[in-house]
Amino acid sequence: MYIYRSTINTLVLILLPALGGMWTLQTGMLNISQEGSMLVAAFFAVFGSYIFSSFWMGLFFAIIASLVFNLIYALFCVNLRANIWVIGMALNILASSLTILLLKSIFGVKGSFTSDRIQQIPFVHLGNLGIFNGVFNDFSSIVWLTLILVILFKYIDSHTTFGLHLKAAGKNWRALDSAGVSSIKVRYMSILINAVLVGISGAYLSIGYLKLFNKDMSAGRGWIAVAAVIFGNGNFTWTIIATVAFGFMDALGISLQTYGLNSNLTMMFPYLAIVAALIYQGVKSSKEKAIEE
Amino acid sequence: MSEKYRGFLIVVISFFLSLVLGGFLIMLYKVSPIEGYKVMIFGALGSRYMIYSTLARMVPILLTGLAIAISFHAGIWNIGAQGQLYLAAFVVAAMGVSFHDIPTAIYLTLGVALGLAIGGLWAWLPGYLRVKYNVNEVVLTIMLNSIAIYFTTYMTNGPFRTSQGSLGATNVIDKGMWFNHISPLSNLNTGVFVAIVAVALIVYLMLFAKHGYEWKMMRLNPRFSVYGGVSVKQNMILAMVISGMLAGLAGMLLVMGDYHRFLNGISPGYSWTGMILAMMVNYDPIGVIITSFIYAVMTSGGLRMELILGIPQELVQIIFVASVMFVTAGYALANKVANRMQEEG
Amino acid sequence: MSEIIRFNSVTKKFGKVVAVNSVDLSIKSGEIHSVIGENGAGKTTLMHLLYGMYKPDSGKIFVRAKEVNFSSPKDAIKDEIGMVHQNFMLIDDFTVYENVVLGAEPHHFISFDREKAKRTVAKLAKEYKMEIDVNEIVGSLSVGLQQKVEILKLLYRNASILIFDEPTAVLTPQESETLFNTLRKFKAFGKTVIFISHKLKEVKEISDRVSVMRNGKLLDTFKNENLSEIDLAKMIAGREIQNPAAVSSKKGETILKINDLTIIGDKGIPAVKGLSLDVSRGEIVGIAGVVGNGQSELEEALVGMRKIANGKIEFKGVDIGKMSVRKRREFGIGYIPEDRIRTGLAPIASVLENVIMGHQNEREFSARLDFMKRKRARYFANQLVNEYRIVCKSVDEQVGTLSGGNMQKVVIAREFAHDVDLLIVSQPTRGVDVGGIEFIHKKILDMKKSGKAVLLISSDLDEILLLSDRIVVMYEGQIVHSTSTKDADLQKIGLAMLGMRS
Repeated sequence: MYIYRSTINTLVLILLPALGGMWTLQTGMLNISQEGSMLVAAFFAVFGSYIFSSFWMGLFFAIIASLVFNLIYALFCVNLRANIWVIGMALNILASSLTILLLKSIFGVKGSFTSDRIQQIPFVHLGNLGIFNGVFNDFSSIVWLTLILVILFKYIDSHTTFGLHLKAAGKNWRALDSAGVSSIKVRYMSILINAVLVGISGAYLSIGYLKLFNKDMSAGRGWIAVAAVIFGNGNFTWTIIATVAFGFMDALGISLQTYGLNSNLTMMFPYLAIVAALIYQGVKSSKEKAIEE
Repeated sequence: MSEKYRGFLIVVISFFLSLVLGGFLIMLYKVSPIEGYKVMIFGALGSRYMIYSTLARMVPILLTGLAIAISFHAGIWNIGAQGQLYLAAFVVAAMGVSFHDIPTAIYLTLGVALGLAIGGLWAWLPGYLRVKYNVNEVVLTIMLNSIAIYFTTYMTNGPFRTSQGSLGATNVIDKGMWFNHISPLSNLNTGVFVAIVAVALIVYLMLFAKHGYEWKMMRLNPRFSVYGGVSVKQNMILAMVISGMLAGLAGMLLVMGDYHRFLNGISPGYSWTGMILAMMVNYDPIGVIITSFIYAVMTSGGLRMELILGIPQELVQIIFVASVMFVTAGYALANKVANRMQEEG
Repeated sequence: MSEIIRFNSVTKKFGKVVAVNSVDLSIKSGEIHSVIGENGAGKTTLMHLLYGMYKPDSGKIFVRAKEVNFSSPKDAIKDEIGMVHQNFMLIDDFTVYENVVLGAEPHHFISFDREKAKRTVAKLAKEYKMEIDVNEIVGSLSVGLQQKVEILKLLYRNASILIFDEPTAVLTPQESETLFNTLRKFKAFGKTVIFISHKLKEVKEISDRVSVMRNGKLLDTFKNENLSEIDLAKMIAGREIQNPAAVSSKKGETILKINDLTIIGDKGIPAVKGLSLDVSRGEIVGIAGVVGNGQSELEEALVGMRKIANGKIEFKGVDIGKMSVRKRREFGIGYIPEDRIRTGLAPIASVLENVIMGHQNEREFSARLDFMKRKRARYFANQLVNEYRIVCKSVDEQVGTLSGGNMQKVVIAREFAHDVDLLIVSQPTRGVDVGGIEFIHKKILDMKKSGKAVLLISSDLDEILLLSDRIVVMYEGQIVHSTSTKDADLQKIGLAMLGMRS
């Protein structure tokens, strides 16, 4: 039960950016600045929640911060056609420095900031459910929101014209443009939707279960999401499967610490799992190819 | 205007613009930008001791910068310099605390060789997987970073925990393995000469050798290189391994020269810094030498700026990231090529 | 018949090049109007102006007597104008019906009504007698069928003015005939057709009226029946057309022997199946065929860029099937690839860097310790630029900024500078202007004269007929027809390209 609950809790963190990233990838824009956007969102969630003592404002600030970061990414990578890796890495590094700078300048602390004035995102208590208490009760409202979003995304992905346009933009944007649909607009849409999701996930990171911001507190979660996106390669089901698997390994690593395993060893779990998964995927697909590189 | 000259101009203008941006940020702290930059430069170059520590700071940044430059230059993305640095540094330290009474000359050689080997090996793995199975090397190296860092942290908290007080470090390594400090006041040590040799080799390889040309073409169009008879697979792995060796060298020098032991936080993001610098100058090795010097000056001065004026030293990093952005935008705007290519197909 | 489109002294410049020079043109409703001219005469640009892909620098365009100012194809589509491009704008992974309705999908509340889309598209195809399965994945269709999908896209959007840009360039003679029937059907339904081509016969066959363009200018418009092919040809070229008299040379020993070669394509199925072919010194062997019948895979396999699954490639008596690209180059194979931007060049790199590729291991340019003689390379690059009259500011200029013809000259200069015995030349003049084409053809014939073996792959049948000594036709990875050029029968070649034996 403990592993179940902590899997759900970490899963949300990865699932939101994975869903958003899946769509940007479908339009041909792999977004690797997820880690940075998440970190900045986490900081501004604490900032907003602290200033106004309201989690709503925390969420709002987090989403705005994430939007700004993603707009920079979009401007460079969609409009200027700059290299996604250069801009993505630059944004990730910027996020780390910027949040430390802001911590020092605004709150006058070095590594982390916490306060009672910070309001958490509320939990959902469904009343007494008997034996199902552990299964459904007292999850963060973000968990339920994520569940709704997953279903919504599934529907949009396979049953709407927007879903069709996303894929068209990635596969042949000229064809989409010539059909009278602006591929740039479609790409911007996917990036902005991703920004909102990453913003929520960042807020969940800092004011979901905690009331604190730590420097570099995203700790690779954004990268795990990117790995899941790459593994899923734009396919909804595979992206979800990869996310759940990686999230489970992450939670498993954290849980096993309580059984006395060294935390530094168990923290390696999700990363080892991803390396294994990527190698598996590579071996599988390279067998299907005969072309010499 | 020739390409080289144009590139140089774009970098210089971008850097100037980001210094102006930095000036505005400094003004937010109610300090005049000129005063801020003055404190910064004085703090880095104001005395012999300061110059020494600035140079000491420059060495790992320069090496990781070149590590990134050489792999990016060849079109393979080694984001794993951090992990390669950590693992090499740790393994060298592990040898240094485990074996004693080996003649200094041999011990130093062994240490250098081991550092290079471990760094190279930890880079070979993703390079091989990329080439053989087309596994995305960016995600792979990021994951390998985390694995290397957690692993070394585990070792310093477990089997190799120090018996000499401070936590999160190994014991001091055998003296036979030390590169001695040049002055007692800073971390600058004789290992710098090893670094100079390495830098010279890399500059030659990238700018004057046939491999440098082939790597560049691999980045600009891998299919074209295959067509031209370049063995792209071998060259990719080679660039990756050399990149890892440089990162390993940086880690090894930090252990054998600067600290004489392995610490958990031995690299405060050197590889990320190196990446910014390499991207800023479009992977030109001479450019990396120049910018890593400027960066070292600004960060070691940045410490002083934080102490005296209360402006966080992270400002320096932000200035450089802004520079990368400006450079990228500059190239994108100046390059009409991309637009043409998209028209033709 | 009333006028439906009018160009009023329309001009469009790209940098210093005047692509369209003060053109006046009137198109009548319900006619088939051809615009004819050599490559680079400005036909395509003129149509792109009408279709809203570019804006004219000066002049006016009227559609149905109303001045229009399209800023994108979207506006043109609204005015019932549709265009079938040279390069199809299709999404290979999507089905036929998805491609057709893309951008104007039928809705059912917020969801995409796939059933309705399928029904509508199938009905449309039937109406115009096009046989096509709307559920097929477009990437698996033949070029002829893909073109039909493009046409369906226009019809689905109610286009009444249809522009076809060199539609037959990729078709076999028989497929072209089917297309012409469709065009006549459009005319019968009252639609206006603008047909762009540089092929005289087709224009004569299909048009009501013909407009001739040369160097960006529109010379005049004629009624079809008042014209002869020879008049047209003179006007297009501005001079008498000369066929390069087939250069006779002595056929030497057989140098390349391909035996029972099988190659697996990207989709995992065989792209070349049991192909055998010989090429001798001093001859040009032309491979004709519709694009996508294994030619790309064959050329890649010959130079070592693609593995072979079965069979043997023997060059100068040695089995080279497992040799690396570099070894094969050093052994005497030169290669002009079909796609110069993707394969033959690094567009972002300089002319200098591009012409050295493949030469970098030669003594002339490399010394000990991996040193590269860059000064020597610069001298070499300047030499080639002069010899091949490559127009560029300096050898440091990026290749991607050159014109299509000059880019191709860079590739050709580089490959012809090798002392090779066999040249594999694929689509050498695709997208090259007239002057460039002549120059390149002459160079290829020079190579043959000097006793080299040339394997020419081209989807342009005229080019094959012009240059080759022997012609083979490839269809679905096999050679289905083989003839000497002087005995060539166009009818038979056309049928063979379609996979039908006469």
